[in-house]
Amino acid sequence: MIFRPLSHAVPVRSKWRLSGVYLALLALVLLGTPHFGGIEWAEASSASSVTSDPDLFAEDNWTEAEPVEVYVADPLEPINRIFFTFNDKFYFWLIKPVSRGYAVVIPEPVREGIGNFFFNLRTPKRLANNLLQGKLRRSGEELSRFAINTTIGIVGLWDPARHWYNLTASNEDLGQTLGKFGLPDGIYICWPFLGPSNLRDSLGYAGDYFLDPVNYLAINNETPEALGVKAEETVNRTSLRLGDYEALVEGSFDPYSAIRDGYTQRRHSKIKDETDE
Amino acid sequence: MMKFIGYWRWLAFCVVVMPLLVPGPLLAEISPLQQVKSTVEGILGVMQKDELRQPGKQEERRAAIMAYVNRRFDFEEMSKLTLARKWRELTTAQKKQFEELFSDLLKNTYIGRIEAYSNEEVRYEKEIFDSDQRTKALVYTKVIKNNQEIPINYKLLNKQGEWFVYDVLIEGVSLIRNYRTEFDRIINKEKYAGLIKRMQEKIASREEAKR
Repeated sequence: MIFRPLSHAVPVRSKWRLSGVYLALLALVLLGTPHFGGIEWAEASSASSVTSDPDLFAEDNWTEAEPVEVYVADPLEPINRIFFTFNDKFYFWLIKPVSRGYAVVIPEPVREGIGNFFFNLRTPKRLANNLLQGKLRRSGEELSRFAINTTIGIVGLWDPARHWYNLTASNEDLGQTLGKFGLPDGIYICWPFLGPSNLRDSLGYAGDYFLDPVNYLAINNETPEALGVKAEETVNRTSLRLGDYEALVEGSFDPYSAIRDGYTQRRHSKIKDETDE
Repeated sequence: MMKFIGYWRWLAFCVVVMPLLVPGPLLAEISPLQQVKSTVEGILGVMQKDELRQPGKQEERRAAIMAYVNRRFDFEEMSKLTLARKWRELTTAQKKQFEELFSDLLKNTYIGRIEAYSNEEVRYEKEIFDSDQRTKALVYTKVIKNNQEIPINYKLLNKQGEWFVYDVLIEGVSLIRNYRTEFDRIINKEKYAGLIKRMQEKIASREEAKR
């Protein structure tokens, strides 16, 4: 019926109306296809139509499953443990006391503002990685957030983009991008100072290095200033989340493995965008 | 006139019959998201009550929070899942003991975190079920702290129409999975008795630290 020549079947005016309907239907089909041209189109509303998903619960049948002893490849464990202990001591002996003192002197809203400022500075990294992963909507949101927060939010000290316009950041990095493209984790590496990582995420960190404005201080031979800025950022961030690391460590019997497994789980979850961050 | 009576009869028919056509289970449906929400809001309510904020009232405050936690969390299920195959080998007395130790350990560890995050905004996003039978559910929530969103998701089990939490996923990291791996490792090295000893030691040291 669709292929019957229109001129025989219907009068002229209706013919145009019918063509219009066909065109509209075609447009709807094209626009509605989620991965039109391989690019992620409109999202979010598709999530609410899914009310059941057995895959989310697939690994819950543990009573029957084999125990998972080795979850993460960790051939460098002896060295990693040394660095882990170093980081642990560094935190408890240096970072934590300094952050606590800092928190006493500087009121929380100010520290939040400083945290916002640094978070805003990392927009190039988030923008680039969202683009690389084909997330156009998220990239647009990052750009909007940057524009709004840098201007109205006064160089990023405040976050009107979230409070007024409900624009949230999506914390993508090169490690996640590489993971999304299929690069496996690689071995676990615990870096001194930087903390838990793996081979792929370390490569990602190196790649993202050039997208971080603060690092350009070091590149331009102002290394002490770069380190100073990093130190300030670390202390500020720690002061806002005092107690998280302690809870993690105190709740586990072997903090090293808990953090190693937890880090790996978290990265997998972020790569799969399960948490919609 | 006849048409008019017909209209009202039809309407009456709809009003009476339609609800009866709704499948039985759905009528009694309690949403896991709603149950998580009422528990979390109950706890936040306790945290924000002024009279309970006085220093001397810490025990009372904690007891109030625990009341909410005990109603919504299924510690027996969590014990079963963290011990996996080992659970079947335990006697009833051993199961009871483990469940008590494990729930004490969890409560001691995380009560501090609950108190720290009491002023944040919590967003309840969505609930997803395992299948049409709706035996399990995953509730997505987000805690907004500063400029960061922390995703906290709850896995719940349906027991006689009510939903109980058996796993918490903080930023994608499953509590049960973490403990399962740890317990496995300890049982392999030190046997089950070693695990019990370690748990008792840990709880004792946390009690010491509090004083």
